[in-house]
Amino acid sequence: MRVLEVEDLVVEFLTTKGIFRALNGVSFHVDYGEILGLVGESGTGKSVTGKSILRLLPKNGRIAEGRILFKGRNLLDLNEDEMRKIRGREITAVQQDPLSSLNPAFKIKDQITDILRLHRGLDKNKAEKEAENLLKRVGIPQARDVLNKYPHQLSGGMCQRVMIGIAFSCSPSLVIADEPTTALDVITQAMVINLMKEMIRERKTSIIFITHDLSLASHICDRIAVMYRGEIVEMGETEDIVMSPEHHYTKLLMESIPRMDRDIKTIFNGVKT
Amino acid sequence: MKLPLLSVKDLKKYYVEPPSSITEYFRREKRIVKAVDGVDLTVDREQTYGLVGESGSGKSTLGRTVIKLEEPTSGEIIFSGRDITDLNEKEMKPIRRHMQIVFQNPYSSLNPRKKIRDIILDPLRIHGFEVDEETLKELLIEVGLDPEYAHRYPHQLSGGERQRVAIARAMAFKPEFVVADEVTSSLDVSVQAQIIKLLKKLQEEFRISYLFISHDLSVVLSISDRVGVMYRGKIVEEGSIDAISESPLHPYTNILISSIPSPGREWKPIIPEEKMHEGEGCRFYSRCPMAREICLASEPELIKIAEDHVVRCFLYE
Repeated sequence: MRVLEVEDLVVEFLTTKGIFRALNGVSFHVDYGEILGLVGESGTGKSVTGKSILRLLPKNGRIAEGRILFKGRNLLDLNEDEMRKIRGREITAVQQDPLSSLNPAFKIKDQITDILRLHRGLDKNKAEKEAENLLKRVGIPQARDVLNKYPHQLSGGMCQRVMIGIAFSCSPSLVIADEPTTALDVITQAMVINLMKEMIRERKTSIIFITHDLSLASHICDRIAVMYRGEIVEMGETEDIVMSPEHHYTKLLMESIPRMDRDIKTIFNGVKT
Repeated sequence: MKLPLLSVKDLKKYYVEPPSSITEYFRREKRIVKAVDGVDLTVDREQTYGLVGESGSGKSTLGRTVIKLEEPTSGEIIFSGRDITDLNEKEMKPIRRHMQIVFQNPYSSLNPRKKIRDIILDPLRIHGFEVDEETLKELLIEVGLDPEYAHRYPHQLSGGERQRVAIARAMAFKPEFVVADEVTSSLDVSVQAQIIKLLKKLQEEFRISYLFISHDLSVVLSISDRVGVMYRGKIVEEGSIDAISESPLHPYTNILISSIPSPGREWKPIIPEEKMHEGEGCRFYSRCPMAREICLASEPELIKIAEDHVVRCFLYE
C-alpha cells in the first residue's frame, strides 16, 4: 500500500537570471511504514522535493508539472484551507535547524499545545497534559520544566526532540525529515535516530528521510533514492544501493565517506581536491 | 628531540554564566562554567593534533584560548619556545601572523560586504605586508578556486567555496600553526573530503601544524597524527591515531566510535543513560555505562597505558 506517490514532478524557480528548474521530472513512492531516503549533495533538489509535498515552496517557486498523490488524493488540487488540514496533522515536517524552526518568542508549551488544540481539538488543560506526556515520550524526563522554557534556553538536541514530539503529536501518516540530525553531534544524532525509529515502530508512520549522509541513510532507510541536479539518478533497496551502486554519482558519494573499517589514512585518495 | 610548536600546561578557561532571571542577577554568588578545566597538550611541528568531543565539551574554547582569542583563566601557553600566556594585544600582534584560525561556519566568518580579494588581503595589509595581485592569484589557485573569484562577494559562493576562501585567508601569512575549528561540519560529505584533502596538501607544502577540532571522530582520524578526546573541559583519552582507532579505552571514546554510522559495518550506537550526579568524582560518571563506586570518590588522573596512549579512567588503574 502506498501512502504517497509522486509522479513526474517539475518545480521551477523564478530568479533574476530567468527560470531555474530545481526538479526535472521526479517520480517515487512511499509505502506505509516505510522509510525512504532522499540522498544527495546540497542543491540537488532534496529539500525542494520535501517542500513541494507540503506545498511550502517559497513565493518565487512553483510546481509546473506532475502529481503528488497522498492516499490517492492529488495534493496539488487542494485549496489552501484543505491543505492546512493535512499539513501538521497528516503530513508533518522535522527541519534541519531546530532553533530556527521553533518560534523564539513563545514558550515550548504554547508551541505544542497550539497544534494539539488546532488539530486534535483538545482544550487547554488536556492539551497541556498531553504536551507533557509527549515530551516524556521523546526522552525528556524533566518535561514540566522544559514546557516553561523558551527555545534559546534549550540545547540543539533538546530542541530537536521537541520538534520530533511536535511532528509525531497528531499521529501523522507521513513525516518529512529534512536533515534532522545534521546540526547535531554524533551521540545526539544516534539518540534522535533511535527515537524516530521507536516512533515509527509504534505508529506505522512513513518517513521521507532527507540527508546528504549516505552512510547514515544506509543504516535507517528501507529504500534510498539518490538525487543529482533535480533528478533521481538511482533508486532501490538500501542494500543494493550501498553494496553495488550503479550510477557514477552514487559511487562518488560512497567514496567520500570517511570509513571506520578501512585503512583510515588513505580514505580520501579517490577524491580530487 | 625537537621542541614542540605549541605546548599548553594546565590551561583553564572559566566563564561566569549570564543570569537567567532578575533574582539571579542580584544573587551574590555567580555561577561559574568551567569550559576548559585543566588541559595539557602539545602540538608537534608539521603534525596534526585532532581534538574530538561532543558540543559543549570545550573544544572550541580550547582552540580559541591557545591562540589567545580568549584570555586564559590560568595555565601556561608556550608557542614556538615563547610564553605567550600573559602577552597583551600589542605584544601578540607580531605573533598572530604565525597562528591562524579557520572557523566552522563559512557563512558568518566572511564579511558579506567585502569582496573576496579584500577578505584575503586586508589581514596582510594590517600586518604591513606588501600585497599584489599576483600573491592573491597564487593563493586562490592554491586552495583550488578560480582567480576570477577575487571580485566576487561571499554570497555568490557555495559553502565549500567559502570555506576555501577562509582557508586562503588563514594561509596568506604562511603560518606555522592553524586552528581548524569544525571546518567541515557544515559541509556535505563529498565537499568535506575535498577540504580535508586540501588541508593535507597545504600542510605538506607550507609545513603547517594543525589543531583540528571536530565532533566527528571519523573525520578526525582521517587527518590527525595524534588524537585527544575531550569531555566537559578535560582530556579523557589521548594517543596516536593507531592507538585511538585500534584500541580505544575510555568508555566515552567507545561511545563516540559506536555512534558513527559507517557503511558495511553494523550500526549499533551505545546510547548513554543519564544518572543523576553532580559534584565530586569522575565527570563522565553520570553517563558512563561502566561506572562503579570508586568513580564517585575522586576525579581519575591520566594513566599511561602505552608509550603513546593515556586515559583518564579508573578501569585501567
